[in-house]
Amino acid sequence: MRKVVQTMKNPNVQLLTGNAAVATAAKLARPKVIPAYPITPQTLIVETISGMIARGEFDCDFVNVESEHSAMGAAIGASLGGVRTFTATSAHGLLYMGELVWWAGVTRVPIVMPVVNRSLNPWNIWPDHQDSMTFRDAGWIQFYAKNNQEVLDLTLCAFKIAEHHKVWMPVMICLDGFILSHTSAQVEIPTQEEVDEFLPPFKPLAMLDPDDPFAHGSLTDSKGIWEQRMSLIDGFNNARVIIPKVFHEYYEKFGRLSKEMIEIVGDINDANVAIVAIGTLGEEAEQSLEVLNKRGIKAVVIRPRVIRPFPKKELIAALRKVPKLLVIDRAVSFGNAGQLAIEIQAELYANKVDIEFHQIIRGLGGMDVTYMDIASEVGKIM
Amino acid sequence: MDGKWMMTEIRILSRGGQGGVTAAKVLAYSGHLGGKFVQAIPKYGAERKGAPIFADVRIADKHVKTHAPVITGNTHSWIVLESSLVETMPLDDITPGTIIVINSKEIPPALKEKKSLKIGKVDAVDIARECGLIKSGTMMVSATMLGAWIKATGLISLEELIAAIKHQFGEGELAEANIRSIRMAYERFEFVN
Repeated sequence: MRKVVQTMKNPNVQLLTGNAAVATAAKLARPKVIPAYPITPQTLIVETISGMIARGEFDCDFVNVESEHSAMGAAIGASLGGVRTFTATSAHGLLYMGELVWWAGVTRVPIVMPVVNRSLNPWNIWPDHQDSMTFRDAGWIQFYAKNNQEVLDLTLCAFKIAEHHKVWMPVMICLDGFILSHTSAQVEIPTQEEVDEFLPPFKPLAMLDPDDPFAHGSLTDSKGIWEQRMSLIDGFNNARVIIPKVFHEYYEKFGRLSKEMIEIVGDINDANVAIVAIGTLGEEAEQSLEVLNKRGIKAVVIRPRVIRPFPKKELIAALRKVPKLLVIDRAVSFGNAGQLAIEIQAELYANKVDIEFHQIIRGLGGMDVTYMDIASEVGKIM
Repeated sequence: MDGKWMMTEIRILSRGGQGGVTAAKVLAYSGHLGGKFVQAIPKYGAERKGAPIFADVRIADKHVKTHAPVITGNTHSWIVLESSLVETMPLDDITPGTIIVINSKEIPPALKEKKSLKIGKVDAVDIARECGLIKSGTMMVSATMLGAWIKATGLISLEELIAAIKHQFGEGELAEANIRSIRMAYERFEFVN
C-alpha cells in the first residue's frame, strides 16, 4: 500500500473541484460513449469532458443530446452496443431522465452516472439528497462521497463494480452540489497506467448484435417481468460481495477506501453515541468529534458510502456496540421521515438491537450544516 | 508560511464580477503550493454582476473535514473587495483581533467604531486602473487585494501568491498585470489601527 503525501512534492496532488474530480476520473476510465446534457450544478462535468474530447486528450464519442431523457436513452443504447458508457446529471435532469433511469436499472445496463445532489424545489439550485434518494429504488447501485478525493475514488470503482459480470448493473455516484461540485480541494490523481491496471477494458456480457438479433427491455408477460425483478435482486446480492472486494483492491493499489461499505471514524468500542450521516455531512460529523470530545462526549461517526445495496449487516454490527444513535438525513420521505432513519430503524427492529434512537433532518435546500451544529444536536440527546 | 496555525479561515466579500471566487481559488492554490491542506468554497446563487457574494478559503495543517461555510467567530481574516459590503458584515460576531483588509480610500464609518478589529486598507481600484485590470468597465481588484492580504497577515509568501497567479492566468500580459498590482498593493497596504 502506498502512503499518500499531500504536498506539492507529490505532483499528482492537484486542487480540483468535485466536478473536475468526476471529469478526471471519467477520462482515466476510458469510456467510449458519453451522451450528456448540462444542468447546474453538474454542468462543469459535461463542459470539462467535452473540452477534453474536443482537444483530442480523451478518445470518446460525446453525444450532444437535446435532453436528459435522450441522454439516458443514448447511454442505454451505447452500453448495450458493447462499450463502456458514462453520463452525469443532477436534480431536475435526473427527474427528466427518470423513465429511462428505471429502464437502465431494472434491465441491468452497466452505466456509470454521477448525480450532483441538488434539491427538487421548483426552483432552487442548492444541495440536498432529495434527487438521488427519490431514485434509491430504481435498481441502481448508489454511492455517496464525503469529499472530492472520494468522488474520484468512487467513480473509478463504480466502473469496475458496474461492469463486473456478477453485478452488471448501473451505478450512481452521488456528490453534494456546490459543497463538493464547486469547492476546490486537494485530490490525488492516479496515473493512467495505474488506472489501466486496476480497471480492465469493458467486457460485454450481452450486447446487441445485428447478425444475431435479440430484444432487450421489450414487452414481456408478467412471468418475464418477475424473472427480471428476481434477477435484479440477485444482482444486488452479488453486489454486496463484489463492492467490498473492489473497494479493497482499490485500497491495496491506491491506499484509499477500505473493504467496508461503511466507514467508521472514532473508537466505536468506547463510544457513548454514534452519528450516522452520508455524503459531506458524514465528514462534517467527523470534524464535530473533536468538539464533542472536549465536552466529554465520546462519539463515533458511522458513514455508509454505499446506500444501495443497503449495508445492513455492517451497520447492525457497528450499532450493536453503541448505546445511542443520531441519524442525520439530508432528504425526506414526505409523510414519513428521513430515508436513512427509516431504513436503519427497520434493521434495528429486525435485528433486536437495543439502542436509543434519534433522528433529525438537516441541510435541506442548501441550508448550511456546520460541525458545531452537529455537535450541538448530539449534545441535546446526551 | 509558519507552522503555528492549525486551520486558518478567510472570508472574501465581493460583488459579482469583481473576481472574488477566483481570488478564493488563487489564495487556496497559494496555500497548496506551500504544502498546506486547502479548500476554496464559493457560495453560489447570487452570481449576478454587482450582487453581493462571498467565498471562503481554508488553509490548514491537516486534511480539512468540514465542508460548511466558515463560522463567523472563527474567521482569521476578511478581504472586502468593495467598501459598501461592510454593511453586510456581522461585525458584532467577529472575534476581536480578526484582520479586515478592505479596498477603500477611507475606512467606512461602521468599521471605524470597531476598535477591537485589526483594520487595514488599500485603494485597489486605483491600483487596478494603473495596471489596466479593467474588464467590461469593472476594475478587477481581486488579485490586488490578495497582495494586500499577504502583507497584512504574512501567512503566504509573495512568491507563492505569484506562482498561484501564474497557475490561474498562465504566463502573459494578464498574469503580469495582476502580479504588478499585487506588488503595488503589498507596498501600499496599511493598517489604520
